[in-house]
Amino acid sequence: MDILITLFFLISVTFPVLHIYHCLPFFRESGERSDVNRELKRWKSANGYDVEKGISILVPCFNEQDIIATSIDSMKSLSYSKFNVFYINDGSTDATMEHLDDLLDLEACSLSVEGNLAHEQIKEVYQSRRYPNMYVIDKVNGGKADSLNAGIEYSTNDLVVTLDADTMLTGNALGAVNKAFEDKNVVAAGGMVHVLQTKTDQPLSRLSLKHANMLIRVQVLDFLKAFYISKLSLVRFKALAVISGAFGIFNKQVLLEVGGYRNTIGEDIDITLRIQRYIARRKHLKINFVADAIGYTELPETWKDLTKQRLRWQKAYIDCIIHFWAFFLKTLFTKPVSFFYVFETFLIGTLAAYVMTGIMTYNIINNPGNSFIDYLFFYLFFLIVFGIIYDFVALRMNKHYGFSFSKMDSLRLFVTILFDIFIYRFVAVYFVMYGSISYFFNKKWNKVSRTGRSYHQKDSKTAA
Amino acid sequence: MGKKILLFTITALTVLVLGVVSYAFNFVTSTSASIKEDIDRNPKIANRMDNIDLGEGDPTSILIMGMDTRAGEGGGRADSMVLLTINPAEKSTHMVSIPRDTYMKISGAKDKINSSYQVGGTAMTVSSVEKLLDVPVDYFVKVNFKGFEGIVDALGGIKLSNSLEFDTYDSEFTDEKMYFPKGLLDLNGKEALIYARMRKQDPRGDFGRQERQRQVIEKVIDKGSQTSAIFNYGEIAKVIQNNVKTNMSLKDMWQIQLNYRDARTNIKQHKIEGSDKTIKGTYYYMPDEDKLKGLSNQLKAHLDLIESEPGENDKQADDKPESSKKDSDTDNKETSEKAPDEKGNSKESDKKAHQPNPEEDKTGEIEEDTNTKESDEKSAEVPAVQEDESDSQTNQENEPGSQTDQEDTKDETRQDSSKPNVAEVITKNWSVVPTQQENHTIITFEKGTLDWEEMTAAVAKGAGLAKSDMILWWAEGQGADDAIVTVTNKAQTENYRVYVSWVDGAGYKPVKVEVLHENDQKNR
Repeated sequence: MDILITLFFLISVTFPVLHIYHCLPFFRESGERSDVNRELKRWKSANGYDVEKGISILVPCFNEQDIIATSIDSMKSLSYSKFNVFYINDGSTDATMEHLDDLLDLEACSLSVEGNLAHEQIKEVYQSRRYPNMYVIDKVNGGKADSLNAGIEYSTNDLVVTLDADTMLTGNALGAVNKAFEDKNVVAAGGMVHVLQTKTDQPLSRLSLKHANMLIRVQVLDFLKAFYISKLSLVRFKALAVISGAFGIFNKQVLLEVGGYRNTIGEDIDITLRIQRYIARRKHLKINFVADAIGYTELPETWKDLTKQRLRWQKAYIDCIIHFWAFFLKTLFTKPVSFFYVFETFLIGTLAAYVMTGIMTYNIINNPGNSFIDYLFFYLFFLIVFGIIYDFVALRMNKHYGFSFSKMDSLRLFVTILFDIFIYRFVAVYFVMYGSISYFFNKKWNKVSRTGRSYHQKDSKTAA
Repeated sequence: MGKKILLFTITALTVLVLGVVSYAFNFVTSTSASIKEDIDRNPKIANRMDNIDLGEGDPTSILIMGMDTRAGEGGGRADSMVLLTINPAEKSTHMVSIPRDTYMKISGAKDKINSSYQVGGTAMTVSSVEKLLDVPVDYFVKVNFKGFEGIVDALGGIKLSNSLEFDTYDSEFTDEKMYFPKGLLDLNGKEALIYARMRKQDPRGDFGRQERQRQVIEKVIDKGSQTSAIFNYGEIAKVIQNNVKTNMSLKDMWQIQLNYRDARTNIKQHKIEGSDKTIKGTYYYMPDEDKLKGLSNQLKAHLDLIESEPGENDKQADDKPESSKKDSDTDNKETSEKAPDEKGNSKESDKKAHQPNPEEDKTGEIEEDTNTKESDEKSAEVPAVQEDESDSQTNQENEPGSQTDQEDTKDETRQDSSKPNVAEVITKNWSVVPTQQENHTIITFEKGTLDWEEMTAAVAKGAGLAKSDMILWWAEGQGADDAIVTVTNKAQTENYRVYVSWVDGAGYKPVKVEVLHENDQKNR
């Protein structure tokens, strides 16, 4: 039994250890960073030295009346010339459509579609009088995947950026995307997503925890770890399975070839795996992570919303392991994406949680002796040390990519790390276990409510 | 590609290191937890335990208990007890053998010290030793036969110098047939165990055995404290997991190994002086109160509990030449092991006893059994060789007078038993009660028959009771020729279970007698 636990423990630390090493700049792939010198880059793009590809931004909206104004504001501040935005109102039951009309001053327009992808009926397509590069697609409710498919249909550019309604791009994000897609072999990419609640008036270099509650703070660490360690490492392995729905960039042609989005609970995992499956036979194509394309997305601020979100993510993982089972089995040891998805996400991330909990429970009941307590503490100690290392690497990577917290945040970060290690990680295990089971009983979307705050740069919060 | 290989290599290395560390930790904690036995201490000792700082090298005491627990038997008995007091500042260790038959008060009743284990387990034994020697026992280490064997084997065996040639070809305490010649021996676990357990062939009896036990313990400690022992940690841990119990924590053990190891270079050996006595058919060892007090004070001084008295100092000064010979330096082995030999040489009788003459051996043993305090003095006392000389003189003068009981005790062996109600087992070559039966076929178990009368006569002989002073409580057959009979004396103060056997053509004879704590057939 002891051996079994030790073995389990080792297997479950293997992937994190691997990612910690692999995310280090030493293992950087050539051409990964678009341009470290942002000033030069800005100057180049401003002076036409960069050829700007056309980009269409798709924003599915279902009952997003509270956040839509912030979203539109952020679109206005993008320093990129050739882009348009499609807000897809997915049959919202609130005042989303009215808000869009107010803010954009809509008028009906006609856009041609090829009709490659199936989606719910389109009620009307509008163009903004105020900002002619912004469109609104008003359609019958069909879900996020359905909305994105409709958006792809109407999008006019070769590059498609998909955003959540609560994702705010930073000014140069599209420039970075443009740069990353200069490599013709890149067919899809994930952008870097920071936490909207930590955004400051220097969105490209400084984060602040001042106005974030503990739950947000711990998710900040979570995101840093997920993006700067895990995703970065997986991309280098060509094993990225999730281009975050909050900020993804796709070659439109490839989206059409893989048949667009599947209407499912985890459409962002699904589309990434579809593309992975697509490029499995086309070895020169690749998926990238654009660390310099920065977006901010709003995170749930209450346990209730966080639980909803994380359960949805876990259900999405389970949904995709079932849906892509054949692909995974066939390429388990030939394609890194299958290997990591099956072993890291499913076997270790999910099944091991049950087994470990089972072993723990069994031991607590049957073997409450000292030895068990001893090594329980030992493993906890190990996990704590490891958790701290993981958090520190993430913060260091954050710094490497040009972001820093203010000095005032040091103590907050310290407390957050403690919270992360002693509380959050156990809650996370619960999310995994509960979500996996509830997938089989309840596949609902579990939409998270938006805070309704205004995050625009000029508002009082960030100016303070 | 090179980078990927590097990546996988460092990842594998990291995981490997984590694995080794976690396995080692797991191993260490589970071992230390499985050997941990906490006992209730009286408040005074508990207080002392709280204040004792092994990191600072405070003097401490450890009771080593050799447990006789054999396969399939729970409980067990403390077969041998050796108390170590260690004073790292003085770089010295005192080693005291406590005879298991030592007569003392145990929870109200007077009994042998090793019966304390049946009465109240480890805690009672520890507190009995504390009471006997009037020194605190900080730690105990209980080792059973298997654990002892395993530890010696894990250490790669021990080397020691044997001063007494003996073999186990006819021994009853073991089935192993072994021969131990004089001189330097290389013993594995099994051999070391037998070497430490043998008593019958030693003319000095239990004292000889005690000395061999201390010798073995010293060697084990010596070998165990060598740095090479750390490489056998895995094996040792495996052995001790199920066979050793102690109240030492992992940290205690670590600190003792670290801070107290130098004290092993100067080991002073002690035995408890006293005399043999048989009370109501049970053998006891009566410690000499004055000598015991002296020893107690010596130990107290060694533990820094009292200032050493001038007299004590003198005594210790006397010890010096002897104890320095006990220097554990391995090169010095020959010298250090000469101690018993030299002592033997200093006395006529002992020298004779070393010769492989069975008659002489018996005489040696009788000496032990006779009720003179002095006779014990001569045999195994390591310190104060000078004193021994004069004592043994007296002893020899006394000898003729003490020969009277010899017939009865001749070739009698008394062994402790693991059966809970059995105080000890007496075996002896009893003579047959001559039969007058013409054609005996089977034990009849019918009162009034000749067969019954002859059988009960044999029972009485075995129990050492007059037939008229004997109540027979229960008799049962064991096949056609053996019977087990439970009897007491009329006063019902002595309880025996006598095993008798029919010898064809000769008659009944007792083969084994168990001395019982109580009459368990009374309410049959």
